[in-house]
Amino acid sequence: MPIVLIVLGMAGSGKTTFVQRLVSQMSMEGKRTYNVNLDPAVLEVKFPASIDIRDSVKYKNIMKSYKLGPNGAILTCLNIFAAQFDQVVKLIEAKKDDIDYVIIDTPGQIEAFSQSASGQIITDSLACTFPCINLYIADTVRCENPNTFMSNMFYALSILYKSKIPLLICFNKIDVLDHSFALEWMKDFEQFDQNLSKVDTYLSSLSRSLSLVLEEFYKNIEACGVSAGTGKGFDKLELKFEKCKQEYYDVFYLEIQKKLKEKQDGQGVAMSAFEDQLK
Amino acid sequence: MATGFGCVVVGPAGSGKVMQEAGETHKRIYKVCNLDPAAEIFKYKCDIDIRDLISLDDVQEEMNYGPNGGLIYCMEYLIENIDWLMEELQEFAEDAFVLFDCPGQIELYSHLDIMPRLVREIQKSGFLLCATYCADGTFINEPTKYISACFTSLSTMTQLSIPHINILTKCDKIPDQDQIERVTQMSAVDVLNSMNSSFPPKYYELNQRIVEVIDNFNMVQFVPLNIQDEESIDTIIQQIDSVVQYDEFRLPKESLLPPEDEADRDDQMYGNEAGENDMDY
Repeated sequence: MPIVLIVLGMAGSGKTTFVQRLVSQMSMEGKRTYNVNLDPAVLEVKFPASIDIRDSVKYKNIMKSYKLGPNGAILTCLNIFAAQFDQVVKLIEAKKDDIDYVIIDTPGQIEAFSQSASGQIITDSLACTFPCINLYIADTVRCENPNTFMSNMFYALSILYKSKIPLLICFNKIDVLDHSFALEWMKDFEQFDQNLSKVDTYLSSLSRSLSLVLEEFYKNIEACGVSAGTGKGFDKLELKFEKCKQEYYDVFYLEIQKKLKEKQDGQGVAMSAFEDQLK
Repeated sequence: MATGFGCVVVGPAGSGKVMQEAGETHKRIYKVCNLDPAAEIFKYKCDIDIRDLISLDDVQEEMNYGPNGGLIYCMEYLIENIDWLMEELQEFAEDAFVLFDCPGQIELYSHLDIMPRLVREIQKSGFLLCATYCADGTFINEPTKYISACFTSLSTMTQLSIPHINILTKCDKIPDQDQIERVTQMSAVDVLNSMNSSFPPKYYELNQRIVEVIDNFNMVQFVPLNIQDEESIDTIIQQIDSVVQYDEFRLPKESLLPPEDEADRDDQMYGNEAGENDMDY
């Protein structure tokens, strides 16, 4: 069974470079990958893509025909693609014995995937069939600011609870800034707290409870540091992937199977929501 | 004395419109200021539009930026030319209530401090601000999705440093009307049990802590907006008013005493300035 890696990241986190590097690293190690591009607005896909959303949906045409702005157009493209996604799953299933990893590059705007019905449907259909991991790419340099770090962690947590599949946080750009501070903050919350801006009193009443949440969150996710630019850290990724895959099978998988029927109902709701959008 | 009241609306495109419609049903006039340079052609009129100053189309065409880079450029441009916005806002009467319809990209709130800076600028000119984070209610069909929305909101709102309310929009479009109530009004124990059933045992402690936060802090919770339901709209308008301290600071429409003397009446209205210092968030 191939492991599916869904790569998510905010604009500027280096997500696409990460995917490029990952694909080439895997190829170097003799692993067989099946690469999928889900970014309808990208100008050039810099890795060999077995499936490319742009083949089925034309972003510019959608923008024109539906008179949409860039966000609306990306969402609509994803919606249309998600409606046919079971075909993609079948394609992958047919080749499952010949693939080690399915690598999925998502749209540059993270909300388009992480907060949309179509992103949900795509994730669910993959997770029902294959061990599936969310790779959350974080910009290590930006994360040096504790507020940004916290913001990122909340976002990652929100992704975990929405998708209910294992989460691996990859701190990218470690060639520019080593990510050990981030790992320290995750291990020792008191240290993080000291660094956090105390000027922001708005959340202070909340922050003790939130810090307890984050502390526990860190125990439940895998994290690692990489540089998509230089390739540093990529050799250690496979171990993490295996760990996450184990986690997937331990209980996520059972839950997914149990809720398969309910998910279909849930998808019914989500489907009609974006069918409306398509009108 | 506040120049005006404002609500920074963050959410999917059109959230500001939804809020304005809701206000209209309650005879509350909200002015709408569109601050999303990538917004599509509106079917409703907005009172101020950033696209009169700069639009994503312009930037992408003239400077060859992609949609992300272009968006950032537009927002930076707005901040540099904030006087333009202030002039436009002067056109409104004092104590007007303005909905600032903002782009939803999380990067603008967390990584780059563009939105926090914009909020500061608007506050500097005398606006009392709050924020609403809008999420699509039709997707929230189970507690874990609700949790997810709570944390996306926290992720976005933490650096704005203004009081905020979370709103679930489109609740009138949910076929199963009980769904939203079930999810938003579930007891803490039920939410916890539901979460624990979706996650392996090692997550139980995390689930517990999350439920505690949500249970104890209103600002993390979501209020459903059902545009067909008067009570729902009323609740939201009241919450927004209270969080932005609308009732405390706006000009009273009628004086409590008969207006015998213009000067006396002015003293009464403009008397209390002490409250403004409380607005340090």
